[in-house]
Amino acid sequence: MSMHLTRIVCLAMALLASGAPGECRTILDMDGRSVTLPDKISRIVTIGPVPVLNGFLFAFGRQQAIANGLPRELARKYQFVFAPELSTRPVVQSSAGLAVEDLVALRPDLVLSMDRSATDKLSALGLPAVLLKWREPDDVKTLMGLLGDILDERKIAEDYIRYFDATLARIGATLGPVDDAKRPRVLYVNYRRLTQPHKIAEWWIARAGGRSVTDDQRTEESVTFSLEQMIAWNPDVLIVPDRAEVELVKAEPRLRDVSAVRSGRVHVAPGGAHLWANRTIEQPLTVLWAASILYPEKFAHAALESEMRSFYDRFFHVSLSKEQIDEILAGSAGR
Amino acid sequence: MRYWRVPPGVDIDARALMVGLVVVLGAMIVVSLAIGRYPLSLMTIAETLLGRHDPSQAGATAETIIFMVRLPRIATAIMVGAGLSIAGSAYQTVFRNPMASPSLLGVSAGAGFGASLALLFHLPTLGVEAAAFAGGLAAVGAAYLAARSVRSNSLITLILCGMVMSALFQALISLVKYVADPVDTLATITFWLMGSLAKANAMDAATVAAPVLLGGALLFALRWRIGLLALGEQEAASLGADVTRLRTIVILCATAMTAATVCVAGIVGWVGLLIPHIARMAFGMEPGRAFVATAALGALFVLGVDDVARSASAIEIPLGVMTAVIGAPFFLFLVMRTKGEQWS
Repeated sequence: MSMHLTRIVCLAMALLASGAPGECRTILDMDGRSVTLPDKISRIVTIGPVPVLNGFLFAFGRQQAIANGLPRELARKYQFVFAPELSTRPVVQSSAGLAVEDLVALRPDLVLSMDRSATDKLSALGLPAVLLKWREPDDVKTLMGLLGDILDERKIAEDYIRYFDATLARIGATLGPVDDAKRPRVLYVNYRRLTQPHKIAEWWIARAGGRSVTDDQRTEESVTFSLEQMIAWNPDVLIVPDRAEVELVKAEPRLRDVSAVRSGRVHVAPGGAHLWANRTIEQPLTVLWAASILYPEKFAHAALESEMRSFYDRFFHVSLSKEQIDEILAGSAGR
Repeated sequence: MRYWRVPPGVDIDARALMVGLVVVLGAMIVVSLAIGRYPLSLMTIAETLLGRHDPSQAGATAETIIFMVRLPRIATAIMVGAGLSIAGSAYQTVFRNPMASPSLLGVSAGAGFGASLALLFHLPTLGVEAAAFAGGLAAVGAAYLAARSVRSNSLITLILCGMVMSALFQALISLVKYVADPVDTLATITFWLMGSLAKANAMDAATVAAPVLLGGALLFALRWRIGLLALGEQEAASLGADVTRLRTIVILCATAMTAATVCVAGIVGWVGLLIPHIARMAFGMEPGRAFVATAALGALFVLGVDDVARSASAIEIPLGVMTAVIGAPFFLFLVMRTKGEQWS
């Protein structure tokens, strides 16, 4: 009963929200569902992995259009650097789920999601929900192409796709052919949970000339393993998601014989719009950064910094200071 | 309560079985030391244990693996298994209920709630353990009082009340998680409640060993008097037992043991229900024998399951998932085998 009532209220609000009938068009999202969208999109709500989705919009210079704020547990400092207005926007989700009525009240022209069931639920309420998928590394190109169509900014999308391919090609050329046996063994690990959190890390580690020890062609997003397994892998380089974990790893007596710990090659993944090690629009920079820590003799630190400056300037229209570049590279402080 | 009908003419030598059990546990420890994701030859293991490893890097790593990774994990698994089984057996005796167990009485959920509340207020480790104990005690106390006030003789009543407490404390855990700071505390609580032996170190082993050994020793010393409780309140009193005091001691010990296992391994179900039954079926009701068999079988079970969890593949399998997958069907089998005659 109350479920029906909520639906009716929401539908009514959605109808009111649409106001004067403007021009509409229909697009197909990445799940093949057709979504009717207004011609001009000025209010966008991002749900689920909010910083990741916001990152795509930053690349289109659409910071102003984002109507929702960042849930605290997902907030990152640089989201507010790239889009200061986010701090005044209402938050429409928490660890307990979506605040659907608040979301409807924002009268979005477009809702972006990466979760099928949430998209279905919001579509049923008459909201223009679009599902974006990023399963394979290259999906980001398809995704940006679709957003280019939706936002009527095809040029920017094409520019990003060109940049993505060109940057990866350039890194590959600088790297040259690397013998498989000579590739450093790399482990990206959330040490507190003993988990490799994202399949995409297998891709950027390989592209940067490393060999990810967790790369077993798995289909799951994340894998959890034992401490003994971590010692058995004996990685040459460890990458952790925040600075506190570097200290945890270095202070752990049981890891003292691991090659990466002995040689001091424990690195924090940088954090910009999102954690670079996970899926983010900044992924070309992730590959360049990883290559620079795996092969410092081939990839100069200064070149990485200037690449970052030009990336954020070209796509986010934000010019970063030297201190900000350093801060992004230093990663998050951790919990 | 009859669990095992010895066919006429077959006399099982209990003493031989007990010795066998201890030998099997010893062998299991050796096997557990030898298996794992890091390849170590039996020779290297023997040399390292005798303190004669080679001074190279490989030798140092072997020492780390054996003394700081495998041994603490084996010790922790043994203590978790023995602790949960002894606790389950103690609850079954004191409540005269074959279905009593730490998870069915709500003790595990209560301990989880106490601990998450302590984590919410950033209490130190000792405070978390004390809170887990208090939470577990509150749950079992509430379940027992609720069952008494129902005034029903059915064994199911206590279990139902325990399940109600379990559900209530699970809801309270959710509530704590809901108000916890999502950036800071929530991740800690969630991770803590999942529990895992993946990083078990000497500290974890000591944390669970102290209450299990102390509580276990006390329960073993009182085994004959506790056995009287199985006869019923009036019978036990007429035989000279201080029923209330005895019952309190047993519940305190069993709850402290359960809380300690929850503190290192999270909520691990089925062990405390399944193992005491198997032990009594195989080794009879004589209190001393049943106690040792319960502890040894519990240790064997969790150690074996954890060996599979840590070495079957690179991916670590959660302990609680495996004990449930094995324990639930096996328990059903036991119920069917005994035709449910002592369950009503």
